[in-house]
Amino acid sequence: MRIENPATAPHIHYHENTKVVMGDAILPMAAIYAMCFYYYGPRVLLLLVTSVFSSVAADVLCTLISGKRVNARDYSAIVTGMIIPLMMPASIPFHIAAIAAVFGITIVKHPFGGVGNNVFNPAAAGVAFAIVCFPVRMFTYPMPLETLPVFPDETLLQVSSPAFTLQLGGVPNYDFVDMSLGNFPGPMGATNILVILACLLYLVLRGAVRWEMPVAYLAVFAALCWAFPRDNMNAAQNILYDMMSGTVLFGGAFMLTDPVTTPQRAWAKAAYAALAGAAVFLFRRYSRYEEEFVFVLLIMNATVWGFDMVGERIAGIFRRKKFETLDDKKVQKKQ
Amino acid sequence: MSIFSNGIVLAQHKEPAFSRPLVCFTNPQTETLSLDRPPVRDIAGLSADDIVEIARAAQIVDERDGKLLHRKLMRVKGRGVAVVVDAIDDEPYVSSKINPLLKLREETAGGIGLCEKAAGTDNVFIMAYKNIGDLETRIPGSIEGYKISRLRGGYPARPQSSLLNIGQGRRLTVGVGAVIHLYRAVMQNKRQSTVFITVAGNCVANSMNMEVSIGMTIQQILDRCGLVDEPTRIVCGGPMTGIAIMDTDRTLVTYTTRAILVIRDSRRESGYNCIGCGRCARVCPMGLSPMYIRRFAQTQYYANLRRFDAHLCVECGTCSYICPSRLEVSRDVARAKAYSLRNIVGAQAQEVDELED
Repeated sequence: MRIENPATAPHIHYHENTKVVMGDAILPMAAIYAMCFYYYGPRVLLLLVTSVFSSVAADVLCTLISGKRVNARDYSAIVTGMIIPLMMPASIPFHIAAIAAVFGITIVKHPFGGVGNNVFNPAAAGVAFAIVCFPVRMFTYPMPLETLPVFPDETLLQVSSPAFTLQLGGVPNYDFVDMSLGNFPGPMGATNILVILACLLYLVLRGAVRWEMPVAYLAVFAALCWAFPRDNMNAAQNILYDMMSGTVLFGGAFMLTDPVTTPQRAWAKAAYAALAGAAVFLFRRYSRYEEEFVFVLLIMNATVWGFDMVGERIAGIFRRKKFETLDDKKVQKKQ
Repeated sequence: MSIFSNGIVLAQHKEPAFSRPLVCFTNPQTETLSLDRPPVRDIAGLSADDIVEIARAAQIVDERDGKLLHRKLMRVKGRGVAVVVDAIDDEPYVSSKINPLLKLREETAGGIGLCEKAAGTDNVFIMAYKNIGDLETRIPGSIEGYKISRLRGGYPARPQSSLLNIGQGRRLTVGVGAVIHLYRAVMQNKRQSTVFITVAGNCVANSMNMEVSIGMTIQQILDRCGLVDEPTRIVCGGPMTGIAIMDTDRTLVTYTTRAILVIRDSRRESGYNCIGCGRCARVCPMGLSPMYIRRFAQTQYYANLRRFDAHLCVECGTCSYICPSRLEVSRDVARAKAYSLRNIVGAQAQEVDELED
């Protein structure tokens, strides 16, 4: 009997493949889209389709141009396309979502070598590009619980978000129950605080996200808010308002934990997330934009290599220590 | 926080081969092979030197590592080091050490007695694997007065067992097959002409443990066990570390063959890139970072292989098993290891290898 093309060991594999890993990001975001549908009506689904379609089309095109084979089971472009509208107001024109997705894929993902090799998070880069190019569109939000027209005109009531109020030095006039349910103006995915927390729990329990990352990130952010509260509110208020307004939680759950652009080892991940938490705190307090998370993430992404090298150096010390002691015992025995 | 993983838990699939009786399937011509000396009547009268001499004459090879048993015995002769009998079948499907241990108890116990005598000790450990959930027969606590220690932890069990604190320094580690062949050589005057193997997999009609002659073709053994399906993969060795073979008529059973797996599986998924999830670093029993070693090997950044300790790889295949992108991480890391050893340690590599016993 002859067998052609024998494969190398091992001959059994763990049942989870990349499709499952990407599905673990897609499924919780589908839940968030359901909440957005409830608050803003069917327009969010059109936004979703626009963004995912442009991102997948750009991905396929770039793959073909670079001469690789298109892998239909690679869902990473879908994840990018799903994240981008969630960081935007529900009334955003379709072309801005499409431009952000195409920018993220063509400029930030593929020049570095496509999926797995990108240094920067493509979704964050796309949203940052949109913020820089269309700041007014990006920072005026429709009120929730009003069904949006597909093409909103000038008469649509658009307001600023609590993050803007905080940045001006005021206190938002939304109570915490409304805010945790998502019933306040803001980026359409990032406002559903309870759903995001549930998604984060799902991701951690599924093993898609190491628990060290969100814990370190949120703990450092909360500790800094508690230690240095804003002038006109107490520490507890400051922690809650700062966490709930803006994209701090959403980004921490879905973008900071992206496996491609995080360090490898658990403690390197924790240190990376802690530094990101501190940076988000500083940017929230001192930057000129009210949405700072994507810029923090892009800066932090550039440091991943350093975290990994230091992490490996520490791991190397542990390894050497273990084997040195064994060798010493052998030498002692010989003598 | 330890960087060394405790191994991964694998579904063992050892049944039904584990509980079935050991089948003898030998070449009749090899049964008459015997030593040029009379069989020993009185074990108590044997000296350690005699045992080593018989092992040399019988050409017994330890199936664990392919080394000659008499060399291993010579190295520890009369030193009073601990004897570790390896019945750890930590890979799924394989039970070719633990099964003869349980089915041929007298011969195993007699062989262990001879090893004890050669090493000059009464400090014997029989190591069996703990995490086998699906067995129909229980592994007893002791056989013929020798206690069986159960090794905890996931796959791979071997680096953990070699770090176990069984006396300091040297010890004699032998496989069950070598122990049985030593007993036969002493008591029945037989040369080693057989090995114990497991035949299993989802294409095999009768999964079982067999004692087969060395030099048989794989095809003969598959004919004996029967196939129920057209296999896509035939593996010599365990599913984690074994070698897939191309031609069953021209592949022979050797001293170190432990198992033959005949598997039909779906097409290997390919075309994914590494997504940097870090699972390989999490499961590596030696605390390496397979992803970076692989990347440095691919980009020919060889200077970093030393810094990342590529030479410590034990080639257990855990990283490839866990990889969600189905990359051949283990193969690439093994190549990097070979390169690293060749360039950095050079000729000392062999010496280090021998020191570890």
